[in-house]
Order: sequence, then structure tokens, then C-alpha cells
Amino acid sequence: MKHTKHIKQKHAQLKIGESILVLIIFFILLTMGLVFYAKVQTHLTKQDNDEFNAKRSIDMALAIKFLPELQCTVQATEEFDCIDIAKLLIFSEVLKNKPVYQRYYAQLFPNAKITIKQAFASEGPLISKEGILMFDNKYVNEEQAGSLNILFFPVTLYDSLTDSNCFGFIELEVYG
Amino acid sequence: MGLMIIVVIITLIVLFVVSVVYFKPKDDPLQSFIQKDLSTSIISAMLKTGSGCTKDTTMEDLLIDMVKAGGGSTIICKNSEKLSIIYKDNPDCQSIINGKNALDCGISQILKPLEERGQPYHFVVKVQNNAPYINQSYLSEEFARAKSMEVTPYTLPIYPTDQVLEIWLCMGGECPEI
Repeated sequence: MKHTKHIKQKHAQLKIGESILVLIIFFILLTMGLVFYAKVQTHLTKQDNDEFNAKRSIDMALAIKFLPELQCTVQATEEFDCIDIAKLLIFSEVLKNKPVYQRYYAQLFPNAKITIKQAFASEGPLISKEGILMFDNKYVNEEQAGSLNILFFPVTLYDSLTDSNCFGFIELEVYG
Repeated sequence: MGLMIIVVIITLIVLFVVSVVYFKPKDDPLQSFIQKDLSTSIISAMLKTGSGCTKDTTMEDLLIDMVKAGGGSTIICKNSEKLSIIYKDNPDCQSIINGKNALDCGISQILKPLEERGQPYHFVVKVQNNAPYINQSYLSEEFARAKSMEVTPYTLPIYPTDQVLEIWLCMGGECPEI
């Protein structure tokens, strides 16, 4: 009688142990699932954010390339990937002094900095080594920015005074 | 207990599959835009650029002259003193006597910003199946054996011959099929 009771007790203990083990595993799995879900969500949010910033950068890059204020024109025909240096110098000067224009271009290029640099000029450098700062509208510092995309794309820089073409780059910094 | 083991195994499989699907690296639209756009834009802007050799020659004229002269040049530079002075730090620009010298100077100056930004490239100028006239590259250590993404060459017909000059600028690594 005593022996049977002892066996039953042992059996019950085993059952309790098993149930506790199942519960522990269940909670481990639940925690793993929650952690995993959180990681996936963070990853997806970051991916969406990066994609949004990339698209914004591409839109801005295309907008600068086709900015009629700067584009070269030959007999009223616009030339692609070409910036008229005379127009550029006047444009950057006007932009410096007119807050109305600054606000307009701030909407076109939010949180961005645009610089035009020259790489090769057969008639001598027309732009200083640092380039011409066309527009600086960044709200955050480099350290504070969540992301920073630096794009640079080549353009022909046309000098109407010497009627010569130079090789230059537009450097676009887009802060996220 | 057996059921629990099955549940654990199924859960781990599901987590693995989901992680493979969600954490798979996606194509970066910005990188692909930069690489596709940069290569053709650099070459087309390069060809239009004044060579600095004579007043009326562009880089395109010098390239075609180089091919017609079999890798040399028939153009003697009359306006190149400025280049030697301005770009004196660049060894390719120190002695510019003929069109080929001016071409080497111009190309290395134009591609220099890529090196400064750590952007690997491979630049090749050749006529169809012949050996390249110009073969220049900058491959940083991490891209030493990398192949560039698919790229098509910029072509220039060499009149009056039926030859075609191919200009390759492969970004990100070596040109894959040359």
C-alpha cells in the first residue's frame, strides 16, 4: 500500500516536472517570437526609411541636372548634363542675397547641400578647388543626421567667355 | 513531451524561413542609379570636354586621332603649356607634346575624383577585338577581385573605316567581358 502510494507520488512529481518544462519551453518560444518580431519590424522600418531617402536623393539629383536656371542653351535648345558657368555664378550670388529664393529652393532641395566642382579645364580653372557652393540647406549636422547620401554626378561646365567646355561634378549631400 | 519537441522544431523552421525572407539584402536603388548613370554620364561629358591640346580639339577628337594613328597621335599640341602648369601635381600632365599626352592628362584628371572618393573603376578604350589602347583602373583592396555590374560600352564610329571605338567605364570593379 505504502509502496503504491510512493509510486503514485513519484509519477505525479514527474507529471508536474513535465508540465513545468513544457511551460518553460513555451515561454522561451514566446519570448523568441516576440524578439524576432521586433527585429523584423525594426529591419523593415529601416529598409523603408533607406528606400525613401534613396528615392528622395535620386529625385533631387534629377531635379538639379535639369534645372533650367543653370542648363546650357545653344540656339534656344537645352543641352543635357551641361551647366553654364556664367548662369551658375549669378545664380549662387542671387541665392545668397535673396531669402525669398532661398525659401523656394529649400522646398525643392530640403535638408541638402549642393556644390559644383571642376575636375579638368583646358583653359585653366574657372572655379576654385573647393568648388562653388550652390545651395546649403541642411537642418542637421553630419553627426546628428540619421543618414547621409553623397551623390556626385558628372556634368559639362560651359564657359561662354572662352566658348570652351570643362569637366565638372555636381556633389549632392542629402541628409536624412 | 513529444508534441512539444515537434512544436519547437516547427517554430525554429518557421523562424528560419521568415528570417531568410525578410533579412535578404535588397537591391539598393541608389547604388544602381549611381552606377548606371555615372558610367555613361562621365564618358559623354568627357568626350565633349576641351582637350587643352589645341583650341579647337575636344577629347573625342583626340581619341579618334589616337585610333587612326594606331595608338599614337598626329596632332601636335599648341595650347598645352597651361595644362602642364595647372596640373603639375599629376605626373600624366607634366609633358604634353602631342594629342596622346593631352589625352592621358585629361583622362587621368577626369577620373581622379573617382579615386579620391574611393570609387573603384576600370577604364578601357579599344577597337572591337583589338588590344586596348588605354587600360586604366583603380581597384581598392576590398575590390581587388571584384567584377563590375553589367555595363555596355560607349561606341564611336571611326569614319571612313568600318571600325568602332569602344569606351568602357566599369564602376565597382573590373570590366566583366573584355
